[in-house]
Amino acid sequence: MTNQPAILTEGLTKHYGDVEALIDLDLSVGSGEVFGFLGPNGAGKTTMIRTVLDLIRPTNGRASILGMDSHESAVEIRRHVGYLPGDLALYPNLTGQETLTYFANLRGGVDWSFVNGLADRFNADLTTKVSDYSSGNRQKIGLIQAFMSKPEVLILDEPSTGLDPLVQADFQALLSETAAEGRTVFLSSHTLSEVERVAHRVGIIRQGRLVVVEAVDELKSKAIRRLEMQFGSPIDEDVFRGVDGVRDVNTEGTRVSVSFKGEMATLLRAAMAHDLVNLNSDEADLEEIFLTYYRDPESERTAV
Amino acid sequence: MLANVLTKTVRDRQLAVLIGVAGVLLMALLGLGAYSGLDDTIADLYDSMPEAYLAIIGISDVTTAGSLILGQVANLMAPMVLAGLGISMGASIIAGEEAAGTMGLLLGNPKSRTGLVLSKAGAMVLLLTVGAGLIWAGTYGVAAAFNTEMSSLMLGAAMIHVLAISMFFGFFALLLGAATGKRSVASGTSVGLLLLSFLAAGVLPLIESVADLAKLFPWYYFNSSAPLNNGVDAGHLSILIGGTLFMGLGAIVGVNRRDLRTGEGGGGLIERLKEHPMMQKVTEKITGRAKVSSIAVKTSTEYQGLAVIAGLAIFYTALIVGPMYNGLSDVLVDFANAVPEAVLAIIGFADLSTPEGWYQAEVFSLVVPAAMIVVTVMMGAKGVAGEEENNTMDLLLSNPIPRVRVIGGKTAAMVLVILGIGTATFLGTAAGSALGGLGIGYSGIAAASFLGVLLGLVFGGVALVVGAGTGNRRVASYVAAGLAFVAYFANAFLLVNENTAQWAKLSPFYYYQEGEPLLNGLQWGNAAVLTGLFALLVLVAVPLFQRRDIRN
Repeated sequence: MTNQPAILTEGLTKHYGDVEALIDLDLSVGSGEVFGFLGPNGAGKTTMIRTVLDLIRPTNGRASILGMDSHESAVEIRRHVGYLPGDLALYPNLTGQETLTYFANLRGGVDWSFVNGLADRFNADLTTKVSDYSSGNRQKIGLIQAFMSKPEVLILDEPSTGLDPLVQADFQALLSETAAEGRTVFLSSHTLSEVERVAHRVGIIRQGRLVVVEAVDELKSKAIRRLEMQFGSPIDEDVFRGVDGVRDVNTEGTRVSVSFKGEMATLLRAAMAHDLVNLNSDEADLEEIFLTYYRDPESERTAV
Repeated sequence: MLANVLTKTVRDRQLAVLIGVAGVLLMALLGLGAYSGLDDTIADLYDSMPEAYLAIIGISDVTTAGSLILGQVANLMAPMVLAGLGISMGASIIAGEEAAGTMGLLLGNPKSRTGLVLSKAGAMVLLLTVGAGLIWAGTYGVAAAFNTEMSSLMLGAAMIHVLAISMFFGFFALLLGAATGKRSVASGTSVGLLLLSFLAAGVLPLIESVADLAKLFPWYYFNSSAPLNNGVDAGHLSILIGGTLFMGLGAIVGVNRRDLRTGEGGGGLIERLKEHPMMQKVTEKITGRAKVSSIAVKTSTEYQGLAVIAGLAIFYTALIVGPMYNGLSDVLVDFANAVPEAVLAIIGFADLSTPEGWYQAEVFSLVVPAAMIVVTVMMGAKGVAGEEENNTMDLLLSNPIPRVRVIGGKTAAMVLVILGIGTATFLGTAAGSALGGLGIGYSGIAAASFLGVLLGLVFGGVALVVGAGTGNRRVASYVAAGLAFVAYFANAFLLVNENTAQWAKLSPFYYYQEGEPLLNGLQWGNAAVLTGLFALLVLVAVPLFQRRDIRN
């Protein structure tokens, strides 16, 4: 089972009447990976997750988790999966403790010392009724129930919703620890900085189609960055034109501003051949790349 | 229709009103169809019927089959349906927006709380008026189709009284919802008052010493003046309208004085009682702590409070009915001699001169099935569709359990809870019979109680199937409750006429009442039919639920 992808979809398609919510989605997420799943509102993220979990049924195609068919082996799959729904709702008349006990009873084999450890870590109050929780505290209970059985695969739909920055940091640390143990995290999120921080790879979905799947580092290397250079004497901008990856050059006396994509080595070699005094580079802006994918239907052909 | 709060409310509620109106007219059609040709029989017996009985069913001047049916429409069906719709709308006016979590959004607009109450209450008044008007016009149409003599009946006046009583209960629910922010408190209490008020206004006048107490109940001002025969009673009408306006003002004061809620919160009335320092200990004893060892256990503990309250209500009703028999037996014997089976069948009366017949009439014909069906339909509709509506089904099914286990757990809880209420029915009736020295056989009491349980389960099964198939709790409740309503009257009406009696077997109520189980013990065949029907409904629910997408 461990040789199988943690999550695999093949031609996964879901229609609601005339609305195409998912179109021919092929995706493979490996074991031990933290996979970030991104896309604008209504792009199909939650539909994809609910299809994989057999909560809704695909119109075409199939999905499997740990090599098991998502429909045929739905119950067996759930023994190995922890899930946090995007629009989390709990039973208002139960306390946090009772909520976790209920799900632990349905699931079986939950180690309560681990659960209590999670509650301490998130500073979650388990004695209050869910109806009296703030949305952040409710989200903590949702997170604890997803992690409490130490599942091999975690599917988390917008997990950071309502969490304060301190708890978010704890949560992100937990994600890293989970991946380090060889377990898989599938993370749907709008918080790009979070995805950038914790995910190994990201997939971007738009209008039901998966438009790109890429390692975060790869994406960063493909980002267009700006480099500001200060030379000891005025320099001709032709020096940088034609250099690999350079898109645009502006000179103002001894200052040269270059936008480029890809490896910096060739560009630096060209600059070092002159009297380079100072150098200032912007951090690759992943958010800008994401937004490009979100906005432009043609971006998958031009942005990379 | 989205121009303002009033029109949006009309848009949201118009379908329910139209369905309610159609249901009443269908019953009128069914009744007039079944009773056509029985005019002579009915005219003959009218003079010999005691007034006390006529007061119960709110009919006087029964000269034709048509007037009997129209009396049922104007005095029972139309007010029950419209008051029910009024309660549903009234409870949602403020508390419904709070339960849905939309109140903040709504009042984020430049709209005052008072303005909101006025707009929504205006929509309720408009819809109830249209509903009453449609029933009035429709009933005329149906009566004309059967050439029913209507010259002596004042249907218009009766419908004005119907409108007044339905608005009274609608505003009562509005007042409670506005004051508490709890829809379940508002609708539950209002339905309770409606049923209590209906029974009290019918039964109390039978007992001379307490007859005046009937005036404490709003139903008294609805039909004690027999508006169908005597026209509008301005005094009674002004009491109902005055009460309605007073409650409207109370609602405005109530909603302006308190913090608004986001979401329904805990478990309705029970949770509210738990919050009250004086009631806390008692309530916690009644409801017990939440138990979460399985779906069935968790679900049944959620309904423990409701089961205890419904069980106690039936227990006390059944208990007091026993001693009452001795005081009334003379009247009842006269009455039983005067009334032929044809009329008794309408309200499910057996031979009233016997203790079994008395219990059948007062407890088992309406109170037991109504209580059982309300509880099972609520549980059945919430079973699958409620989890989806509350968005908890995704989380529940993310555990390693097949969907069939959800159905199984919810069904087991429904059986458990209703068996508890069935036990209370048995104990109350047995105690009441002993207290009054009536000597009703225990096997008969057990049989009637058990058949009540089975009848409740059948309609709970209907709600479960519809909920499992659609994921829509409201549709499931409406379909099951509507079907129960139709089945109740269909059984009563169809049995009267030899030509239509066979069709009564399509109604589950037939198998509940047939063979006088209270007198003759369990009718095994009937019990088997109801059990089989319930099992079939649960079996059908499984594939319906398994095959579809979970709503989100």
